[in-house]
Amino acid sequence: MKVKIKFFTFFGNLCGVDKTELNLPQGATVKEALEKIANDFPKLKKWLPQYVWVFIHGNYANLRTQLKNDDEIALFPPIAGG
Amino acid sequence: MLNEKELRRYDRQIMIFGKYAQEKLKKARVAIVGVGGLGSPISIYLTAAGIGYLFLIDEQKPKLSNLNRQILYGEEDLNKKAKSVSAKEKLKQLNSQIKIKTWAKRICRENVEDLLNDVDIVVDALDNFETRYLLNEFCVKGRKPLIHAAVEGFYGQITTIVPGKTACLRCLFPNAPKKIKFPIIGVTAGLFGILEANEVIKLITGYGDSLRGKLFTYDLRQNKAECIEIKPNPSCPVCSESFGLRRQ
Repeated sequence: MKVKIKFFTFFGNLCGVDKTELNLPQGATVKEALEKIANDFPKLKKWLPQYVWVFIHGNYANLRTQLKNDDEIALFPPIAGG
Repeated sequence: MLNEKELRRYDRQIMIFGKYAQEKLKKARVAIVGVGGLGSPISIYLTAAGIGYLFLIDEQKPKLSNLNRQILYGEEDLNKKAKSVSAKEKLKQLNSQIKIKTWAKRICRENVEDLLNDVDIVVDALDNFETRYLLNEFCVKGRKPLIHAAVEGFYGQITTIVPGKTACLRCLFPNAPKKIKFPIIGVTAGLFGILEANEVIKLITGYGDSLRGKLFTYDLRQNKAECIEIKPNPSCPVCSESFGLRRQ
């Protein structure tokens, strides 16, 4: 199956792209997607899969969330400063 | 009622949203939790806009490394009074007609209710998620709007949380990031502080569209804005029950 990934704020700058697509086996989880992304974009290895906020179609997702074909996954680096 | 001096003072914004909205600003009670990089511009713009009552909460004293972004303070303020107290003195020079209360001790689970019970809106200008989660729990329980922003480097995020209607902070960010010494340029905190003040003004006056239920991010390095809609998490440990109760 195919899923779309969108990188927000500095994840996009680290990757050099704002979005990408992943081919994953049916039933793959968010964790598997994040591991594949970290492999494709080694600069994200410091954050993925632990330090990231993940939303699928605006819904919060955790590492165990199962993905579906055509899911759109938004990845936000956790920022806390003020 | 606005007096003649207030009508002149706020004339340019009364032109936008009218006298009745300006009266609402005058009656509003707003808490700003953290008076640092975000809290400086928030408090300056809300003071200038004529919010009737501001409650500033910050126990820390300004340090040299704060001055690149915490624009309420200068070299003469370093390591003297708590930021909330020093900020009040500066803000009173800008607008002597509004009431400003300060709390120069820590906000914690034991005192959050006593401190924030009588405000209408809480503004998160903190630098850590531990205290943000505390504000979130209080605001969900007390049904008070919470404006959240966080910044790092040239990046920031902001959303407006309306308990019972939007996702809460735990729905959005269930896991706190590690507490680290974060990089920051003053303009990022400035921009997002102003956006938070803008959300407060819009919520009170009803003018314009707020960021309720939306997470807005801006990359100042590459001038990229993004806004996504975020739905409440049905298994959120903080707010899911309140949604359930609303449906009954």
